[in-house]
Amino acid sequence: MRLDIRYRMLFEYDVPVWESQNELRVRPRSDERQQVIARRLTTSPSARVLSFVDYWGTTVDHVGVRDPHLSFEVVAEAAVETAAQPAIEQTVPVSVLAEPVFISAHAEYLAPSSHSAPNPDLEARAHRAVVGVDDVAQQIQAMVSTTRSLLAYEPGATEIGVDLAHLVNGGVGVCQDFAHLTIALLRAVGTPARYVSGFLFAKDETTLQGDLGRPGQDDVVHVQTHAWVEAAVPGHGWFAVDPTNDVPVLDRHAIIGHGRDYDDVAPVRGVFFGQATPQVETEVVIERMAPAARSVITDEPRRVNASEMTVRQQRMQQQQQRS
Amino acid sequence: MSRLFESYSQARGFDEAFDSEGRPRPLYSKIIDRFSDLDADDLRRIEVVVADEFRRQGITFTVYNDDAEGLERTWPIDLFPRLIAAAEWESVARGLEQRVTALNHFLDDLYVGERAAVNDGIVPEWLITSSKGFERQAFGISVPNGAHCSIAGIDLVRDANGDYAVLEDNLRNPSGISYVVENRAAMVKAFPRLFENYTVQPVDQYGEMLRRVLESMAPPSSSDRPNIVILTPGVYNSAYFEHAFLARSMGVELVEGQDLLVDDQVVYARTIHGPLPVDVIYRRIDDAFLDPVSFRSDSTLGVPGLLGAMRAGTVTVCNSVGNGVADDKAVYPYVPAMITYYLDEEPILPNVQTYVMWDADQRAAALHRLDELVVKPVAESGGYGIVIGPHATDQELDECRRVIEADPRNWIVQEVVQLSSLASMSDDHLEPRHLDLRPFVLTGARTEVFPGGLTRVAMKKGSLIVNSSQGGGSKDTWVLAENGTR
Repeated sequence: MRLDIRYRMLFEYDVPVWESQNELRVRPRSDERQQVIARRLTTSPSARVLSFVDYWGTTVDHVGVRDPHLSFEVVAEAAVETAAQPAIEQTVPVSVLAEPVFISAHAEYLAPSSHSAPNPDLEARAHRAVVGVDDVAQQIQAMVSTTRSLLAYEPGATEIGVDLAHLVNGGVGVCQDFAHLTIALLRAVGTPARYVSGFLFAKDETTLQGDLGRPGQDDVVHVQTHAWVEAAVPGHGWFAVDPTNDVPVLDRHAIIGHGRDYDDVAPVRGVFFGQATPQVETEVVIERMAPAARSVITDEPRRVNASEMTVRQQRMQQQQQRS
Repeated sequence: MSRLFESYSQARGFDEAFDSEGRPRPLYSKIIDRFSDLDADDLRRIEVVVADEFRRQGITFTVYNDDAEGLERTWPIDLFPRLIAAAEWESVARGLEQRVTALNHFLDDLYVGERAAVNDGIVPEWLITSSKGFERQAFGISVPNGAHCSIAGIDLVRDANGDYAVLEDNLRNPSGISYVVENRAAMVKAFPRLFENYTVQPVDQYGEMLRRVLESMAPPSSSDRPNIVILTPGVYNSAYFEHAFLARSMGVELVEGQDLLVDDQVVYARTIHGPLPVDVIYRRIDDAFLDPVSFRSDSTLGVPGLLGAMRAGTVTVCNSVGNGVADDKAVYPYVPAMITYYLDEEPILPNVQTYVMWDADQRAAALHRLDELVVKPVAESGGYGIVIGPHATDQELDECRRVIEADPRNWIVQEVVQLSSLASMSDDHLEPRHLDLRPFVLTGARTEVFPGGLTRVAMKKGSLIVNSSQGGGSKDTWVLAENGTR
């Protein structure tokens, strides 16, 4: 699916701040399932942006504003072509998850992380839910179902950083909570799991069940960033599920990046000097484009060396051949 | 021999000054002669001169304890020096150079390279990704010369045969070099006659050497005379004296985080003449506090945006970020294999025999005879959390077994090394005291070993704990020049 995604974030301060420094993780990445065709990042006040790919493969933009300012705006635009992920073709016995080589390679996705830390009650629930299950894909589905039995979706119900016991006790959460809880449950039964930050083309986070609307209608949606989960399936690779919507990830999910939990892919990490109380406003506008449409987004001016350009062109050509 | 040696009886292990028959070793004979001419009162007078010298220079050390903020003590030095012959030192220095070279290769491989050592099965992947010192934020930050660790302190011990072995690597912020330099200065002043029969390699050139190494770490874009600063957490840090000492001896500014700022991925020092670009930062604050954007957002000690500047290559930070993965005590058992892997050489300095607790067989065997072994937490330094089996109560050992079973990744168990000993003053006479050695290894354009290092000595008879933070003392350490005995 061709999507033009525009992410805008506006910080406003009641009194001037200065020397702000930020790391932004708000751009879709290119991977096996998704190709970024064009991208552009602008800030106001304007500043030099250092872009790099981090340990997890996420494109990060590092930007600072030294002079005193009352607002800081970031607009990240990208045109991406997404494809649906391949289905898991064969059954994989859960015993394969215990192979030492598999465990060693996925250790960081099995260990507890700050937002997906273990808790005896959840571990017990996870184990009860997989009694008699001997297929990894079914185990993943069982953990998604368990999450959904524990949480109801409620916009704005929680803040990032809520502890899982507290979350389950409250019984309501947003997409990040669904993701963190599913990850903790998956890890409890020995399935490596990671947190994914991205964009979802849908009217809101939970209306995936209905149809998408016809192309040419309902092509523009106003949303927020979305979160889902990837679980490692031996012999298959990472398989992505969206616990908030109870579906495997589709071509209307565009990925920004993944990590152990939210902290590794937080859209913004930043600090500033000053006594201000910041007001933050974020908006995401996604437009579904006709497959061959010319994007309104053009690449930001940047030096691309010849070999990189060749690789990009080749990838684009390969994609065209596939469709 | 004088009354100072009258009641001297050798401790267990290797005595550095006397052979097993109790005869002075040739290396030490002139030192022993000199001490034999003196009595306890003479030594006390010298000790007073040394202590005055230290007090005047403000040389202190903070011992943190459970009670409160910590106790500031004058730096304890024992007057009987530790001697190392030129040939012996040459071999130790080659071993250190080899080890630090391999460790730098390893760090570069993990953070900048292809993780070859992991892919080739030299170090298990899970061990890396589960290390508290593995800083993913540092991934992709390259450093000039591949020198992630420009200043290393490698702790050495000598076994019952007098052979050297590596006890642990310190690749983050090793401290102690200022005491090496100041110990010598005080000894030369207070006890000049002791040096008469020896040619000792000097140590007062450390500042010059460190400056040269840091200059060679400057980004290629910087000028011929790069702007170097030392970044300190501030006056309340236990090693603040050393930070100030190093700034003075290199002739560079000592700064705190708030004195620096980042603009468009360039680091500047705030000066009365306006912001001045900084090329190299010798930082003495921990990774977790270095940059609140990447690490602890509540840190007020660091410099916001610093990692961005490092990544842009406009500044070099020494030591680089994430070195804790290589001096993680659980990774230490793999260092000899790294040396063979990266350098295709046999390790010159061996490790102490170490058991890893995540291996079920090694764990079972070690827990069975824990009363004969040493238990260490993998991520601590400064001697904190160490339990020495032969000196521990049954209750302490049971507690060790419990914590090891609960979290085997975070503990190692080692054979007890019966540390070598050397005559040291106790009241009015000399007694053997156990000691170790922390040499300093500097890497810029190449890896060099500073002569000698900090000899740390246990202050209590029979004690094997030499860490200054645990109340240990020090000795002036002499590496002799070739034909250095007259």
